[in-house]
Amino acid sequence: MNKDNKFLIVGQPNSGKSSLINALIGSRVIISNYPGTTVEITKGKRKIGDFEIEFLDTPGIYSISDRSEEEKVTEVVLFREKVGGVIIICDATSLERSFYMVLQIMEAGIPTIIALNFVEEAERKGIEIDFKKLEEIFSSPVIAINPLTGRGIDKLMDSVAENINKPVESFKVAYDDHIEYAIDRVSREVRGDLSKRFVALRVLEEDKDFYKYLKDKDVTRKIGHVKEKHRDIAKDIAVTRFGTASFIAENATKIVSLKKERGIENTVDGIVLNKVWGPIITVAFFILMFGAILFLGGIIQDFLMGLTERAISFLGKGDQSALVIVLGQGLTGLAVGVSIALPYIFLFYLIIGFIEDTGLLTRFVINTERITNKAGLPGKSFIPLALGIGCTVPAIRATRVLSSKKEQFHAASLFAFIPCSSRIAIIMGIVGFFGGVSLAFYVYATLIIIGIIFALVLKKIFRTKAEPLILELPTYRKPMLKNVFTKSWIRMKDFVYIVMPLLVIFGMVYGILNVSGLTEVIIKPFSFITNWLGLPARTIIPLVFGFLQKDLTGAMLLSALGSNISQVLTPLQIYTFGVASSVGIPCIIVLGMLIREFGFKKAIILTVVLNIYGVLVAGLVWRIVEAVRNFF
Amino acid sequence: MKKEQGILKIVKEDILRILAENNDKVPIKLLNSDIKVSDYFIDKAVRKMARNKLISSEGQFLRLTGEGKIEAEDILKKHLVIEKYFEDLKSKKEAHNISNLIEHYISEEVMENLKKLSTFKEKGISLVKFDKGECLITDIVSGNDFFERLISMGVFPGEKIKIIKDLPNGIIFKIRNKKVFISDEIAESIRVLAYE
Repeated sequence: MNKDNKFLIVGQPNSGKSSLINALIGSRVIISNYPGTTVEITKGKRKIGDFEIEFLDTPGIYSISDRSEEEKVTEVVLFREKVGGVIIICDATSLERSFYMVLQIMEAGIPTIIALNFVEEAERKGIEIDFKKLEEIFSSPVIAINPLTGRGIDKLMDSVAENINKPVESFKVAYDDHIEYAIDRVSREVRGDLSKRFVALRVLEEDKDFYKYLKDKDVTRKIGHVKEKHRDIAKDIAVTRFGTASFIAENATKIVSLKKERGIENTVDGIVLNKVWGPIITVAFFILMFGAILFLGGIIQDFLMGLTERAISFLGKGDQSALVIVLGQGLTGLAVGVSIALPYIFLFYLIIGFIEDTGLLTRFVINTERITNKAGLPGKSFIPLALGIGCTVPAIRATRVLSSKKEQFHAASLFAFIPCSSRIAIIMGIVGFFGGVSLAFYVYATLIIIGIIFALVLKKIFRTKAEPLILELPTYRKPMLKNVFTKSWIRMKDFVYIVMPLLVIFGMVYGILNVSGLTEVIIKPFSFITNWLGLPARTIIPLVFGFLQKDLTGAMLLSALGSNISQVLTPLQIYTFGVASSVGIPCIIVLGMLIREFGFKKAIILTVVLNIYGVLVAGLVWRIVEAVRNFF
Repeated sequence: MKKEQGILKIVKEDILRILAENNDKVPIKLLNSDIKVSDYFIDKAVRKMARNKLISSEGQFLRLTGEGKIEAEDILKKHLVIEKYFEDLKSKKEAHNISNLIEHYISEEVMENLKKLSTFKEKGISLVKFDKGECLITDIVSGNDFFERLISMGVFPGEKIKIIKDLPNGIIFKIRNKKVFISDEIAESIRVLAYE
């Protein structure tokens, strides 16, 4: 097999790219971060005749030269992965826009197949497309597809097999004479095996990443006289390219009869994007969604935990041997894993995927941007932050929707103050139950206040400024359930294969430590923490071990202090315990996720800083309250 | 006394400008009708300027000397920039009158800022200031990171857009039957003209 049997699929957001991947490969795809970025790329193989072709898919982009990380990755994949060709999905309802990227990729001299999606929709709108003419102009295949019905997919595959690695002489945009002169002049200084014309254009468009392909880096200065005619040569190039794209689109389409736009869409947008109602509807939707997920999560968790307990007692037949305890803890880990995976990941992504495919999510992002902007975060960050109310582990993974590592890190650090269901269980079940509802409320208030302080400090340090937003509002469409399911499963995959085994292992480690009596030894050096917090020394067990499995904190506190906590601890001590065990990176699985996303060093620093912050604040509040009390 | 000096300065600059605008000899009568002060000040200013060799008189006509031309150019440039700036806001005549007032007092700094504004003015107003109806994109100020993104989304000079919603954080408009949201920060760089 030729190692260059790679085909890249590109397209603008909402052009139906994920549906095409689905139609081509199904759920057998692998999603991974492209090395060194937060950008996810999807890979999957498919046999076509004698060929096995690997399809690569990067996130939707509008052009390959924009400065966002997604676009950068597409550019890198195009050249570093040595793809044998590109399928560009074009939206038949707005050809001129899609053709902009087509022209750019053709400039790179890579075999290109144009797949036109939404042809039926265009026809309904009264737009007729002349495929023959398009093929003539581009001298590349142009194929009408519909990934949902399967139209054109076989034809597309035949075309892939036929065109892979085929040398091409494709369409060239004719720039103004002065620009052509400049392209020619810069081309002569280009080294390497990339298309010289393409590199020259990128250099003229001031893309610094391409300067490294130049033999003489001063060449741009030597074409100074061109700059006299074109003071803004990058702009002139882009404008010419779009002009050409527009011209081609106009030439190959005929507007038969322009149908009136759909009234329903405007009505819905009128409500969802209303200045006042928009944010209210958005927040209400998410509250409802998370409410439903938390509720279902609770039911599933109770059921699974009950099942586990019965399994353990069945295993040991009432006998508490070391092996049974260790296995039991492993089983508990598994149960915890499933009760996170099902509601908080699968159900969550199912709902998100559903509203994403309908087109509502984009509207919600516009509304939430107004809120998250204040913390220096983009509108998209609302989704992972809200998910953190369920479970921090998938929420950290969900921060990948953000476009830079910095933003991702910023958002991830805020999870220290967003209690997950296990931490909610501590606040409600321990603080609320033994100390009263008002005490639980104080813990929440503390979390919010110190969370806001932390976010503002971080905003200062990182100097994050939410990037201005450009979003296309997709037409409302009926989502395909199969697509939504596949997407959710793909997103859940790495939790199932990586995090769940970890949960089982940590459960068993905890069991072993317990059985072997090592717990006491490990805990001793941490006694200064309880001193600072003004708590009995034994509370260190739930505090430290809560880090292995947060769900066990409550139970461990009870076994450490006896079941009548309100008699052992003062309300102030219960509050202190609540804050100390809620603020910070909640558990070792989250630490693992952080390491995966940000590397060992950053993850450890973040965890240590946040957990010390939590303990410091808890001890400080205790001291202040004591001091005030003594004063009066 | 101080007040008289102030008025004389203005009259002097006005005379310089009027002479420069006409680029030829100008009848004194025209000065009297164009400059809204009593003839006393005009006479005094003319005499002073002649003494300083800024103008030469030929009977009822005045003409700039070489030295005068240099000084006049300065004031005329200021006048034109300010006039250009106000032209789109008010009628030409009003703009002219406002300029007559400002040009004497304006600092170099204000001048530079106005110059920037007036080049923008030629190309329509910023989309942010436009909150309803249809408009034509006249230019996208380049040099921002989003320039190419906008172009590749079809937000392109010459395209017509229809504003759908003006939200607190941005603007939603329709372009070639696609709806697009952009933050105000980006809308700032799009110049538009009202479309009739």
